[in-house]
Amino acid sequence: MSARNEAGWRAAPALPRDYWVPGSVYTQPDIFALERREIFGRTWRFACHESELPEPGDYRCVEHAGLDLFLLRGPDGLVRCFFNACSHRGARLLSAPSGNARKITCFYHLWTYDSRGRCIGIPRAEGYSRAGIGKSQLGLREVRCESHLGLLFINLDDEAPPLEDYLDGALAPFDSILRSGPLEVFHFSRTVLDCNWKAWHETNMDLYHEYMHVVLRQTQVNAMPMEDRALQVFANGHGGSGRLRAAYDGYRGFKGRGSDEVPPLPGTTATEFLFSILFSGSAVLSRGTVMRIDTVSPQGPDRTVLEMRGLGIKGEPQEHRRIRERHHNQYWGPFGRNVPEDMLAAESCARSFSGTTANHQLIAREEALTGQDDAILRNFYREWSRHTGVEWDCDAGARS
Amino acid sequence: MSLPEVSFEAARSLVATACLALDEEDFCSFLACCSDDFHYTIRVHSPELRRDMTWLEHDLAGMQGLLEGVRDHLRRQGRLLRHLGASVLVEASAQHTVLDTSVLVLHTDLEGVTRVWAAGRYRDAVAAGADGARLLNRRVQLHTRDLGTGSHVPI
Repeated sequence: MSARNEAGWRAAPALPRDYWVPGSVYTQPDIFALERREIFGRTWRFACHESELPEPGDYRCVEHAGLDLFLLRGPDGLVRCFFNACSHRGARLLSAPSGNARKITCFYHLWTYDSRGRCIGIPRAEGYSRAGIGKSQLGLREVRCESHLGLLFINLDDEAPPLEDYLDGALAPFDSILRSGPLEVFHFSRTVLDCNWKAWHETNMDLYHEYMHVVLRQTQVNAMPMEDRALQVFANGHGGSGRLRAAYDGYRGFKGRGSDEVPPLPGTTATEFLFSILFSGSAVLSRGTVMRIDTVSPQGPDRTVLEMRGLGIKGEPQEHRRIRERHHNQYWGPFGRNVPEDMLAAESCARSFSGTTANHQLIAREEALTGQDDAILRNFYREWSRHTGVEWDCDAGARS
Repeated sequence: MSLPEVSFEAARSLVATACLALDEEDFCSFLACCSDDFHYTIRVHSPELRRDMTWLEHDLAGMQGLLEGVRDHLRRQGRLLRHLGASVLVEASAQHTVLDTSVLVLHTDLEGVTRVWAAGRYRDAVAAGADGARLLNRRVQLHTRDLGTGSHVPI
């Protein structure tokens, strides 16, 4: 056993292609451009939860694939999504992250649109009729928007298959929670991370990194036998878990969390932990009493906007909500014991790959879809390659 | 025997002492600034959700547990410095003195680069105790919502 020289360090590992990932997939601008076009331009992406737009006229601005979009609930109750740009000169229509607008009027020349994206008002419109254009041709660009049990997804590809086909049952472990009644987002945070979007998303897919977290070493790693853990992979790059267990009493300050101090989310128990990984960059997690949804909005090869949401039961008593917030914050808040450490790990790997100090990463653990198997990561990267056409082999470089 | 009111100056001095203790990660000294009934919250307004959020909430025992666990955790290297701005007196009564103080939190990394990490306000209620003034309540109203990789140490 010895340290390696340069050739040894740069050499591709003697593994099947999908058991490792070259660092260039995190850093190359041309690969990032491919991802934007072939992945984020074509696949369904979680946008927000329906509780963020409860009333007609409520809107929610989101970023996706370098685009400014907004979702708007119409008077018919349906949520639609549009480019956040005026048809006239391209000015941004809505600048607040959320709000209520029965109609949308551009501040620049007062062009006005309704909740279906139709242009309904142009000051002195007759000036355009001589050029042969009018309101009927000047609606907003609508983006496909579909709901899965209150989770709103968008897709820039007008020809993409329906959302349910795309999900392939990956959210089924959450059906009992999502079907039980209205949920509500009570936590939202948006963080810019200095890393590639995949480096963040890997923290959701890689169970082996549990050992990094003191809180998971003490509440999760030994809560059930590794061989009893069930992991799942789905078509289209999704993954997830069966019902895992946590032992919260193992961590100082978390005592009582596994008891009935607040009702668990319907269909689960206070000590159950489950997660679903959605291709490309979203994860849905439940820790018995609280749910988390995170999703990425890549800004560049080394810059990622991460949105985190915490969900509880809509209309629940204030005291229940306080406990649920506490449970959320213990692990997942900006002052929590789990997520800040994940962020550090993602940025740490990004630093090594951006300077090419690190050459590739290994996703080679095999545990027959139990324990800390890397199968979810491999499934993700197979799908990633299918979309981007980027392959790699023994020369240790990615090519498209 | 009734306890005396806490003067503005004494309350401000306690707020500064508590900040220095947190800056130095001298958590015992920070906890010594707190009363047995201490309550701590970090609140943030979300324009996305159009509501206030709670990002941290603890009583004294909770804070003690939180701070005792800090050394076990993986966290960003460097150090924080809480810079207090002006304080204004919000309320003065026999029960407590309430101050509102602006605060900037600066992070200095291991290379010596300093950046503003967070901005907000402290709303501190200070009460007289047998051994002097103590923090009864601290509510941090954060303006900053992007806290980067977050923190295991409260503000």
